[in-house]
Amino acid sequence: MKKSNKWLVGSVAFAMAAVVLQAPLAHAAVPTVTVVMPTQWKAAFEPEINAFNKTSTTVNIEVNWGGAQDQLIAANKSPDIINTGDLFVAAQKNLLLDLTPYIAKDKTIDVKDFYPALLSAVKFQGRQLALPYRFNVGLLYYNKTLFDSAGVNYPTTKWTQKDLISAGQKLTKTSQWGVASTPGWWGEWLIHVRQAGGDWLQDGAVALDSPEAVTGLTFFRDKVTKYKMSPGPKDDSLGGFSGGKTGMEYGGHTGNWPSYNAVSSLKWDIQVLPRGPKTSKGAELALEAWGVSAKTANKQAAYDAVKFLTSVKFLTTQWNELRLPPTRQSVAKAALAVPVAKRQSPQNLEALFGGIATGMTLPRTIPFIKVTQEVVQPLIDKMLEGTLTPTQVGDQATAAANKALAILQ
Amino acid sequence: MNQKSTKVKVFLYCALTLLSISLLLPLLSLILTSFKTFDESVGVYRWVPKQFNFNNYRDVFALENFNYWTYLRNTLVIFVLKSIGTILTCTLTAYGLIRFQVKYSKLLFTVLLTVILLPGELLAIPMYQVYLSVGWFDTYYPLFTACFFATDVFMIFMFRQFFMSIPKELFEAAETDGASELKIYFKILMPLSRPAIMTCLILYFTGTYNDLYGPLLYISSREKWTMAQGIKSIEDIFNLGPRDYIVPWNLVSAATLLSLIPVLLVFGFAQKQFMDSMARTGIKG
Amino acid sequence: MSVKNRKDTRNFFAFAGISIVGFVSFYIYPIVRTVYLSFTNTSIMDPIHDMIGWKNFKRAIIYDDVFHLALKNTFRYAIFVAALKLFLALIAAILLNNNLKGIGVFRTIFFLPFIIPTFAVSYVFRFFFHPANGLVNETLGKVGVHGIGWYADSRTAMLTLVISSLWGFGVPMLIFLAALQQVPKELYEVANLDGASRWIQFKVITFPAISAVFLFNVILATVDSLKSFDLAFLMGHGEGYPANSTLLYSVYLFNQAFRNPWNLGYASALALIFFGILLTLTAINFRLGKLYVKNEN
Repeated sequence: MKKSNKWLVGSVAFAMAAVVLQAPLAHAAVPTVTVVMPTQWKAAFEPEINAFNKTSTTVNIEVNWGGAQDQLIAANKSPDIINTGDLFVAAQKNLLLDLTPYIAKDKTIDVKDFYPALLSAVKFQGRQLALPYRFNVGLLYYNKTLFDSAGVNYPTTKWTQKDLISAGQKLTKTSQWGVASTPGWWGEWLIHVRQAGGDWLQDGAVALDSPEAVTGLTFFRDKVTKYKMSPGPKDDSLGGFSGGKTGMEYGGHTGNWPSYNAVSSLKWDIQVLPRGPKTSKGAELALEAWGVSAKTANKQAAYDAVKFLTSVKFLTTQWNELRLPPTRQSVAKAALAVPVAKRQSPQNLEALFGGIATGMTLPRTIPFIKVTQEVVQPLIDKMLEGTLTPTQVGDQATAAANKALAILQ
Repeated sequence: MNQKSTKVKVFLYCALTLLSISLLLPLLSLILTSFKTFDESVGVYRWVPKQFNFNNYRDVFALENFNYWTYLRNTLVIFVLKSIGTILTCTLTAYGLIRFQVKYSKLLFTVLLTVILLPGELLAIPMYQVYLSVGWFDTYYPLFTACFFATDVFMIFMFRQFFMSIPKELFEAAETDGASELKIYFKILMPLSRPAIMTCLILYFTGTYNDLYGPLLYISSREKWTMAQGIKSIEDIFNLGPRDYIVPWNLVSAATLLSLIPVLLVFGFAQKQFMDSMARTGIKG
Repeated sequence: MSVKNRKDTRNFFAFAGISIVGFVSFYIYPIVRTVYLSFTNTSIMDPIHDMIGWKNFKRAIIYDDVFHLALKNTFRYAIFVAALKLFLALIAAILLNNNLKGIGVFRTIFFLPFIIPTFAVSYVFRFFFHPANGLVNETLGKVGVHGIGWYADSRTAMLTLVISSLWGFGVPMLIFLAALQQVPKELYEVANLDGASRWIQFKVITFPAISAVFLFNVILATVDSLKSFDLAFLMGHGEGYPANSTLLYSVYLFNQAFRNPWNLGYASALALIFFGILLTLTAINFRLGKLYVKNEN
């Protein structure tokens, strides 16, 4: 009798102990994943992430505010969640975890809600290597104040290059430019090349010497030399679009929105780019995405974190607080549901989301940035200075870029 | 006999004043930019701001990204560590080089001199791998460890020149008195070396303040940033995507001027000593 | 071996030994490793690497036009900066070599730009040379000179960089000053009595007396300007903007190693090639020095 009593007491005690110990252990077992984010996003994101951490049973997100992600990766201390983009997934294919199986067995994620073009831009060789969270598309930025005082109608979706030139010239006066000229990187001239029917890379080789590409480059230069509506390198650019004395900006970058809004005297809005000589396609489409490090110890937890960071809720906060264009269609719809007059600048959000259709991504399987900046851009800079003609630039850039690519492969 | 004619005096004063003004003039642009508003600094460029607006100096401290005192402290910590390492090891080495004239001394000295020719990059790349592999990423160790091994050849050279100007008799007298070499080093050499040490300190202070290369490579966490990194981060406030991001120059220049204050203080304080010692350690063959 | 000698040797190694350790660890080892790396395709991002023979060197010497441009830029830059800096330093030292009242203030002012951190220097000249209406262009505009793009124009960007680099000529100036102050005043007095002009005095008295220092400064300035990185990096936006005109070798190397593509192997090859060139130049400098140095160094 006594012996079975002892057993009974013992097992009950053991069961109780198990239950008691189970609870805190279960909570302590929530794995932590790290991610690097810019400090500028701390005020907007920290409350949201903290709230998530409190309620999540599968993951605890720890943010390294202001860290240097690339350096950390190089030092073998890669964060669990990696900030990547359409241009980098190919080069980082060994660094990133394939998320496809995790997405497949996840019953609650709405993958179809992502814009397909953006989702496929971070898919490589059939592997979904990241989920997109923000994007940039080339747009036409215009200064409402300057348009009003010149009596020119705001740009519409029906604009062609002719309309651009006409408005640009009407807006050019002393101490005022019609259209900004974007120096030092491909943000504008590549759009002109593509809208003229050419492209940087065609059939695997650099094709900046094609007649279409040269047409595009010529227009880029003509804005300065022929139509005289854009500043050249020696002119006073009057501070560019943000200086408030330039009527329009061609291409631009959505990442500049917070800084344009910080200039109190600037009243601005966006429109889809005018149609080029051949096509309306050609605006640059680029995006940033959250991926998971292939070396992470907690793959499922990291996936859950990425899922949260690209969720409707988080992307809505991202949009409301930081104006980073969301990659989910439902969030876009909600943004568009706000009446135009009540929207913060830029108000013409239809152009932003509509622009995705005409956007073109950049070549990602080659070192595009390195080759363009080291070899092509210097020639284009010289073209604006007047030392090279567009045809020369096309020929020289193509030869040099092809040579560079050959060595680097 | 050193009576210069008044004509020469006037000429000299004029030339010196003119040159001084033109040397200091560029600073004016920086100072004026710090008084501009944000709109003014991104807008149409004007040399002079519309009003003299001191807000930037206040706003810099309110920035999330920029913690002036932390960055100053970090920079000072690195400076102190580097200085201790260098002064200790380089003076020991220089002393050894001149005091003990063994056949190795000349050899070592010549070998060390050739080091000046080595480009920093040649050494930085493999050292980067080494430091990373021992887990020193995001620490200060890569920045000052080398100093504890007498690797600053320029300093060895400077100290050696300086020590050579100390009369040998002082050492020999102490030696005959039975003092150990270490005692001679501490009791005689070091106290006399104040000017050279001050030179080293000033050069290292400005050098550490300057250094962007090292911290960029090795330091990641915001709390560990140096002043140079901190100011660069103000430049990068809007660097979140576009290549042609907008830079709030008004804040950057205000922060820069604030960061110059410690440097100017240190220099002003030690300036006379420094200039004298630079003269004394001047190359004497 | 006398006891003194053995004791001396032991002391020597006790005191200077640390520099031998330092030399081997921080100079010899990296050089050896750089040589090794230059024959591989090591990349920080990729743990696997292979030996690829002379490929890196071939690529650098034959194919890499940007590298060639960077070298050209670097040598042009170095020659101008070294020569002009020395010239300025010498003139300044001569002007400061007197006992006028308040000369200390002038000496301090002349030295001041040197202590200003490089990042601050880049800002200073960004505003000073602003192509729109920075102080310089505004003034030039008043005398009718327009349209100089300074650092925004690939034709004048290098010039702007050179001028900005000259600002900190304080160190060679002080070294010259020290040397000038060593020259015995009696020599000048005799020359004055003989009626020799200032220029002759300089040629015959001053220059020979400071020739050793001059050589030292020449070598120092040349090597320093060839290694120059900070200012060019900051003013060229890290990529020799505009149009690679301010791309110095050191910036190019930094980008190969520590930015995309993190190619340490290639960067090592570049470093070695440059080191070879540096050695040659210094040897030439020394040989030339033998022609005009009057003292024993």
